[in-house]
This record gives sequence, structure tokens and C-alpha cells, in this order.
Amino acid sequence: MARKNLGDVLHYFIPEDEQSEARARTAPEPGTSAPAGPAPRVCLPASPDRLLWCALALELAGALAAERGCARVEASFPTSALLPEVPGVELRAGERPPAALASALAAVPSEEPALALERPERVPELLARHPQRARAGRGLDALLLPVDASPAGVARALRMLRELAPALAGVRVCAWVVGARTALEATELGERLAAAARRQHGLAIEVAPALPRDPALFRALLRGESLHASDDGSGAGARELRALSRSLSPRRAA
Amino acid sequence: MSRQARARSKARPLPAGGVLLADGRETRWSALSRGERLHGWTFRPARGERPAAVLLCTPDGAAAHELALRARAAWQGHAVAVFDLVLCGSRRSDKLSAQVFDPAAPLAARLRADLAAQTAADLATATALLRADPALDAARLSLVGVGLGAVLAREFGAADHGLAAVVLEPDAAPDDAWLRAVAARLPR
Repeated sequence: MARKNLGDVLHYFIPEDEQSEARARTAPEPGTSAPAGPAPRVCLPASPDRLLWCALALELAGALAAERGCARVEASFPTSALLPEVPGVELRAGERPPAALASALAAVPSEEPALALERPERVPELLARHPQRARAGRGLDALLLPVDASPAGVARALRMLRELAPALAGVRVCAWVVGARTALEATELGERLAAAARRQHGLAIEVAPALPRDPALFRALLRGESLHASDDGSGAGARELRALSRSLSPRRAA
Repeated sequence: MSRQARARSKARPLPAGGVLLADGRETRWSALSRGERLHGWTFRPARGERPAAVLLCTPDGAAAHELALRARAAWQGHAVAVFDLVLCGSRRSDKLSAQVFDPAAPLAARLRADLAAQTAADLATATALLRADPALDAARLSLVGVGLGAVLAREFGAADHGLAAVVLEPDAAPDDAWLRAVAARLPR
């Protein structure tokens, strides 16, 4: 009789719902073949003190790099040494004006995904200098707005949208809810933000796939490790980041 | 006897049910506090032997909070330790947490004393555990509480526990200037 090890019987000790959740996390996802067409160009408004946003921008670039082979993050300010080194991602950071950031983005090859990290107050100038891809051919595809999963986070995002609204005409804006305890909470917060942005500022906001609160993800970031360092794709937040990276692909013209 | 060996020989005993598991620059720790098991993490700086440590109580009481990242960046040379405060993070209760932390809810007033007692016990356990960690300098342990973390840690912070510094900031969204000001108050 074949001997059994702990792995053969472990499932007896794990609740059914945790097992199905784990299966869902590791199951192959639809449409995971290499994407074709131009790579996404996304602006993520974040100030240097929002280390979490900066770290998550790098991790999102890691998900894009996994799809496309490489990715670039261009930051308009020096970034913290605590930020993780993400496989396949080249980070170029340094104090520079929006015009220089726009030039750097324009120089990125069209097949390479690129994320721009810019201070919120400078985003309008960046958008003016690096207009949407539809208009300029090599412009930005979207503004990805990170939102803390709390009423205060939604209020902060709305304040930012109020400042940015005049510059956002025709720009695809995606709200990225980070840190919600459940998918339902993330959806509700995203929809609340979208409704308020439409009502208060006349902006149409898309709700991007959320990143739920995950202590393992935070611990990895506190250690300065990338979520993509373990390459089995089942790490904390990896699946959600892949879903987000797919949703950011440029849209074909109608 | 080397400095490190001397430090180890002076290491204090672990509190009840205490466990320390070092993995690179991170130490996972756990101990019993009034029958509840605490789980926390200490993140040590890349350089320096036996660094000073800061026990950080975050604005929403959960260990997984952005402030821990910002504190690590701002308080260079210090280890940062975090854990979930009572009814926060992994200890959150769908039934109780919202009511207990809402000052307008009747349950909040009824449970205030018990909440303070549990938090004080948790912090006493956590500080004992950090002092027992041979990788940290037990004499240079500080407590920083922000937002809800400051409110919950107020009673413990008011008493003398031999901490090198105690900083409690009720504002739940401190800026980088505040983090730098705290860094100046922490023991070098």
C-alpha cells in the first residue's frame, strides 16, 4: 500500500470554503494568452509619501510585465528605497517636471507597457502634454485612481477628482479600490464613488478590479519583496493585479 | 564574551505562550494576552545590530496599514513592530467592531473599560515579547499610536512601562513632517 504524506490528508483539516477559495485563486484564468496590440499607458496620481500607491504601481507594472515581457514605471519624483524590485519592471525615478515625464513616456516603445507616477496636482499638466492615445497616437490610455477602501478614502478620491475634473474631459478614468475586506465592500465603494463623480463633477468613472486587504501582501511590501517574486502566480494579490492589468489594455476604436 | 552574546544572555523571558520566529529581517511573534492569541510582526532595518524598536498602533488598529510602510521609510535605523489591536484587522468582529468603535453606539460606552483593559494587556504582552527578542535593543523600545491606535493605547501609554518614548497622535492621517518629527523623538 502506498504511503501517504501530510499533503495527501491536509484537505481534511481545511474548511470547504477556504479550499474552494484556494482553488479559485490558482485556477487558470480566461484569456491569459499574450495580449496583442499596443501596450497600455497609464497615469497613476500619487505623491511620494503614498508609499503604498507607489509600491502597488510597481506591482501592477509587474503584472503587465508578466503579460508583455517587460514594463516601465516613470516617476516624477525620487522613490523610496523600500519599494520592491519587481521582476521585468524598470523603474526610472527622479525629480522632474510634467513635460519631462511626458517626454519620457513618449520615448517608451509602444509594445512596452508604461505607468506614470505623478503628483496629483501636476496631473493636469501631464495630461495636457501627453494627451489621450486616441487623439495623439501615443498618449495615455487611462488615469488609474487609487481609492482607500473607506468612506474617507472615497471622499479623498472625490476631492482629487474635483481638482482634476477640468483636465479629464475624454480621459478614461478607472477607480481602483484598495484594501476592502470583501469584494462586495469594494464594489459598493467603487459604485458610490462613480455615482458621486457623475453627480458632482459630470465624470464617468469605471470601477477597475479591486485589490482586497491582504495581510500577506502588506507583509511582503514591508519586507521590501515583490508579490511577483514567487513565480507560481498564486501569491497575495497576484490574481487581482492580473485582472486589473488586463482591464487596462487599450481599447480598439469603435 | 561578544556584545551580541552578552545581549543574548541578558534576554528577558518570553511572556505566556510567547513565540519568536525570525526570518531574515522579519520576525513573526505570537503570545497570549488575557486568553487571546496575539500575532505580530517586527521588521528590522537592513543595517544595524540590535536596533531600537517602535511598537506602532495604526490609525485603524490593523497591522496591515500603509502607515507601517511609511514609518519604515521615515524611521530609518529603527525596527517597526505591528499587530492587530483588539477587534481590528484579523481580530475584527462583524457583530461588534463597528458598534464598539462608534462613540454614538450605546455598546461603545458599555464596553469601553473592557476594551481599554484588553488593549493594555495586549500592549504589555507585545512590549514584553519585543523586549525578549534578542535581535532588538530592549532598552530602546518606544510606542507610537495614531488615530484609533492612539485612542486605544492611551491608557497604557499614560502609565510608566519603561518605554524610551511614547507618542500618541489622535489625527488619523499624519503627514510626512509628523513622521519626521517623531523620528527626532525616538532614541538613536
